[in-house]
Amino acid sequence: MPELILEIRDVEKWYGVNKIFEEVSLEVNSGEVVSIIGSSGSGKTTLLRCVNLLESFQKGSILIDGNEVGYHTVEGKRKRLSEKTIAHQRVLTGMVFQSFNLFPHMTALRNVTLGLIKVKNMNKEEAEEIGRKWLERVGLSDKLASYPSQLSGGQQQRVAIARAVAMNPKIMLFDEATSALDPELVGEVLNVIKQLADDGTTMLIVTHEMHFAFEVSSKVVFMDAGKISAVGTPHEIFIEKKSPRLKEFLANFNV
Amino acid sequence: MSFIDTVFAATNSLLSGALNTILSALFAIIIGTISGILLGFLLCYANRYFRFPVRLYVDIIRGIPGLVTLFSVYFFLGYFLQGYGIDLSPLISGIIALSAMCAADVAELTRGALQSIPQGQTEAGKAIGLRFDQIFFKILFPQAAVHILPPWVNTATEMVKGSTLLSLIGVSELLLTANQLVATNGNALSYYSLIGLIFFLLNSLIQFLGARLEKRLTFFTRIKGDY
Ligand SMILES: Nc1ncnc2c1ncn2[C@@H]1O[C@H](COP(=O)(O)OP(=O)(O)OP(=O)(O)O)[C@@H](O)[C@H]1O
Ligand SMILES: [Mg+2]
Repeated sequence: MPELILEIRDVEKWYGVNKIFEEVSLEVNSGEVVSIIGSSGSGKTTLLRCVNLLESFQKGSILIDGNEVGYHTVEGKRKRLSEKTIAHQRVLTGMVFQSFNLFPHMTALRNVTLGLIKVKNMNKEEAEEIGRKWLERVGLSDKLASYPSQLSGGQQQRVAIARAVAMNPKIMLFDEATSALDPELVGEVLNVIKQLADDGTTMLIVTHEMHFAFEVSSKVVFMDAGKISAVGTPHEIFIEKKSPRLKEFLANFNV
Repeated sequence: MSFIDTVFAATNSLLSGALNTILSALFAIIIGTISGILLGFLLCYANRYFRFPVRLYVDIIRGIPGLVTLFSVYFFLGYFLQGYGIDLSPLISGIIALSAMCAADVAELTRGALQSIPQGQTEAGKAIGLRFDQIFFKILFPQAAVHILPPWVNTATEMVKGSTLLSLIGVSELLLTANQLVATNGNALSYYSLIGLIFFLLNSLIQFLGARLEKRLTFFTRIKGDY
């Protein structure tokens, strides 16, 4: 019986008067890799940010490991939890951003250990041991003391992955982790993500790398026009291409 | 008496003048910097009911001549406090006025520096579960400090120069001391050159310390290459 890690129930998101998406429901089981594809502006980033509680959402609920995050209901009214509680809940998810967002004034190792020390209350030695382990896993054991400005984009993104995964989240969220990279650097980052997938890390991945999504995903979600328009196995989505919209979208990627 | 002799004869008053200049500038810089950073923080993150009065304060102080601020503090605040039996000395009034000016400048510098940090930094901090205070002290402020420092050195030297305004409310700082020496001995050019040199040395010291601090703070922006 697979364990349900992430459950998105009927979520609806508005920016002011613009509805970004509605009726979005999605389940991710332990060890699963779920990819989200869809055209630009279809709300993929926004959905990930809702899961990570960086965005508010107006309707529905998100459960991680069986517990609702971000909101609770008091006297019949839906209320956003305090920032402090939300900060705790964010530890359940690990986020990797398109633009890396490493802390430029900290070494690679310190980027990884900051959260371990400040949030997980580890002492420096424990944190550095874990930090070294993860930086080694992403192939950067010789860059522990380097600052982000001394690293290539691909190396920076691998540090960012180490920083997120070192917190031991229930689920990793990737938002177009390779879109800001030069083509020759994409491979090294995808390999790291693939290695995490092989190790059984639960992941929700927004990507434009269709071949990668086809290879690593257990399930693929196609977002279109403010809704989840198709869900299926990689074979169902990329080979059978059930809906006309999906066919049209995938035609841009020659898959 | 030659010029040199009069300088030696006036060593005590010149020293106490220099002391008053240094004291007023130093206190103004310390008090102004601390409160300015606090005000800049409020300009960035406080709700509008807190932000509005701070904005008003910063714009007014920055928009009026320093002398007007100084006279306002000395005459109006002094008069007001006298009602409560508190006597505001010229030196204290001067320090309050200079601090107020320094704070307004530093508030604006701090706001600009904090706002220039990409939103992604805050989000990356949130994503690993940091609270706002942790994000501010560990991630945002260290980066903002790098932007604040160079113009802050400029503000600090302005405070040293601005301390000469205090001569107009009777604080015996360097300028007033020189005025008095010129009045008794003549030789204006020599005396004003002498205090000019002292001001120049004081500000050179500030710039030297600022440059050293900048080097330490910006290590991470200077290292490049080595892929
Ligand atoms: N802060 C914001 N305020 C208002 N509208 C926003 C904001 N952020 C995103 N949007 C809108 O929400 C919609 C979804 O944006 P989102 O970034 O989630 O799309 P995406 O699927 O990630 O696109 P891409 O593939 O280009 O990254 C877009 O129409 C965008 O204009
Ligand atoms: Mg996006």
